[in-house]
Amino acid sequence: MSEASSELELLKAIAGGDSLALKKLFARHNVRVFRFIVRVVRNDALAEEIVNEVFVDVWRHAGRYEGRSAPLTWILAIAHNKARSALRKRTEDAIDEDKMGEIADESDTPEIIAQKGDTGAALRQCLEKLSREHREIIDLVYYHERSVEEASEILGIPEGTVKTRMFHARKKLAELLTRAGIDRGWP
Amino acid sequence: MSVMMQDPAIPERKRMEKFLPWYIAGRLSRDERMQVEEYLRRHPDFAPNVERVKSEHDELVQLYESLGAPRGGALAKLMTSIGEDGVRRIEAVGSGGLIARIGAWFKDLTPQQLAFAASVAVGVFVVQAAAITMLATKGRVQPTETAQSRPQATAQAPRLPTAAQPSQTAVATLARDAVVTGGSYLTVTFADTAKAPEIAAFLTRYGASVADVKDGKYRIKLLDLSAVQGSTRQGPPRDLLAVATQMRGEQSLVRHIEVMK
Repeated sequence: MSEASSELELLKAIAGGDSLALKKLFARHNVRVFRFIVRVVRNDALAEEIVNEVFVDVWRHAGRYEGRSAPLTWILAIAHNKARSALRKRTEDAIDEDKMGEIADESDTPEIIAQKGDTGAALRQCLEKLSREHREIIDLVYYHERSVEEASEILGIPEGTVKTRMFHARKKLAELLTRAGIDRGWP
Repeated sequence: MSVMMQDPAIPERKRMEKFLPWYIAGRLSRDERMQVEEYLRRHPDFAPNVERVKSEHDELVQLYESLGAPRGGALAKLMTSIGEDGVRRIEAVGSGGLIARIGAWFKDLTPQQLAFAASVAVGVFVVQAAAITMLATKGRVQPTETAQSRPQATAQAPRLPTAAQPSQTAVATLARDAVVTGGSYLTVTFADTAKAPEIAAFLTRYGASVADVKDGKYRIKLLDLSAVQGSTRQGPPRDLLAVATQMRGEQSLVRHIEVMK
């Protein structure tokens, strides 16, 4: 049985009220979903809260899953909506997500890391500095290995926009790297 | 001039560049993957671009692996949440809520709307009475009707309990050919030890919802799953007696069942 079809069976069982099936699905995906959410909300405690909400939604609405996309895609779409709505609910005194990149931290900047010759670490730092939208698309494609169609479903944007957003995210990444003194010859 | 000097191959290169992240992730269609590979054969200078995407991919995966995981206890918290959710679901459809909602609906009507609603109700009642009379009359003029000549839904005899199945003494008398429709009800008395999440799961398993609760008896409505859009359990109509018998078999959860049809 393929992974997708076994997950489909799990979702059917969950729709029938089988909590053991929910436990299995949770065990399979909770870390992946947590990491996706924490990259959006940038707060471990809030991300844990949202992961819980995501799987409660899976429990409640498994019967509505139509099987048009992979179960993980469906779960990530729920996670994306919940993370976005949690960000909207944040109070004014909470840290503004868009200003996160401007907050000075004690770790080395990409420039210093680049000077030390650790290109991989500099690349990781620059990946962290991308805007939320750019992080999301890069995460979905590189880590979660979602197709154009699946990323479109998760983010609720047209497929053409998915490709363009990914292109611009990579372009921005290249610019950040160039600023850090790493010229990779593109774009 | 600058337009004329543009490399005509650029649009294709840009298209290939857009493909690369999915090429590395192995998520291109066969046709698209072949296009990238063909382009790479024709343009060896494009190979560093592939390497560049691969390094982005690898570093992002490494970054992700450093993000950690939810703390221990996340699963226990989830199980508690769905347990509470089960309680909420039962409360939401309980008698108080239902009556309150109906009451609120009537309260919002104007006298004119109320009069119109009453007229419609009377009309429905008359049509229903006429339909019942027709069916009863039809039944009397066909005294020789056989199982073969009856409609399919009634021709299928329900599965009778075998010796291995639980006793049906608690199951009230029921027309043998009844199938579950949108208006089929059962009254269930759950065991004293039954917990709310178990009751919620029980209802979900049988495609049922609580109509009301009185003196510890749950009047539950069975859904006609064959008519529910998007249901994962679509199929032929369910046999009401078989459903009741199956429920009765859950002896750790169910103490008594009465069929109301």
